Amino acid sequence: MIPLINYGQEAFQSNQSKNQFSIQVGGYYKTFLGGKYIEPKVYKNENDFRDHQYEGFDKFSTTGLSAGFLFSFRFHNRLGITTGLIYFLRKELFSKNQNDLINSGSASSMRDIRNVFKYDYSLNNIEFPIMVQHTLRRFTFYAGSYFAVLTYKIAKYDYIVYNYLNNPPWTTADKEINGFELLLKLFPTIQIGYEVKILNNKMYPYLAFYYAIKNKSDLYIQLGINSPLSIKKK
Amino acid sequence: MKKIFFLLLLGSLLWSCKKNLFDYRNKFIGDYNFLVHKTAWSLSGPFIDTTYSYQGRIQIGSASDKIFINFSEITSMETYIYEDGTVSISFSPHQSLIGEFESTKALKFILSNNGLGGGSNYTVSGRKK
Repeated sequence: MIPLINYGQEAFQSNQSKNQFSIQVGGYYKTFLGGKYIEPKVYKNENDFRDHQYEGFDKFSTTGLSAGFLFSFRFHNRLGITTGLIYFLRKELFSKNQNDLINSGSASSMRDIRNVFKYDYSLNNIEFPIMVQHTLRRFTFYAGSYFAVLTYKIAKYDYIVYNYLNNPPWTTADKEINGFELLLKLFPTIQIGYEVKILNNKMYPYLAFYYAIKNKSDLYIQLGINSPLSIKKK
Repeated sequence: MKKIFFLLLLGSLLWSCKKNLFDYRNKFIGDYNFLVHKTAWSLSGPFIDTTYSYQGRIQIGSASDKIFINFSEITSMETYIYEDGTVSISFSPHQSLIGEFESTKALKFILSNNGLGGGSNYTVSGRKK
């Protein structure tokens, strides 16, 4: 029988019992541990602003997706290491009531970052997972971390801009600044896959949880499917 | 041995990336055509009001969040740059620079330097070549 997924990659099968390539595709919902409001803190001087720029903002849940290749190396009957290369679209949205900014009187007549009332980021990441896997009957458990190295960041900013000659003396404006950036972020993860057979091919629907270390309360809940690149022996 | 070499190579690549290749400031740096409107006054001299163009350059600054803007033959300013393209720095209550990159190819800013005996203001717009 011809399998549904036949990538013709004989080289991958040189040691099928130990090594396994697979494709993984998933979608996530990002939520938060704790409240969505980011408490303002006192900072010492103007130059610390970069570390405090989201304070006073609400953060919002987002959705996104990931897709890529995984490579698993089994060094024991049930234990193995999984790594790979994953494209991960992670979104971040921060917003505050623009009236807070207008009433505070702190915004200037230039489009300064202090005038921003909404940040909308789409981070197109290249990530490397490193996970330990444990197989138990039809379940496979993974624990480890995704390491986000590089991103193409699409950043949209909504501003208040003051023009004291007008009435009302402010308008809103927006700006988009895009570019590649180095991320170096870790996303610890646990993942549970379950083996099913679809048209005689093994598939592993999975549930995964990611936690963002740098944005301390971000929790990603992901559903997806892992499809081994296997060729059945005819 | 090969694995160690690969890890060292990857590590050095990431380190060099961190310093240069994928720095958020990279999208703003380059050669620019600047249009400068300068006004200057002093108690002892004439009022200056002049406009000129200059082929200058924006370069990575001395700190991880700074850039150099060379917008005239004798003037090169170092300023903070934020992720959204805002540039600002305050040297004293009388001397400051504020402005923004409107895109990764266009910049405008105002440099003010005013004291009791005189002062100067530069209104600058720059476009990447």
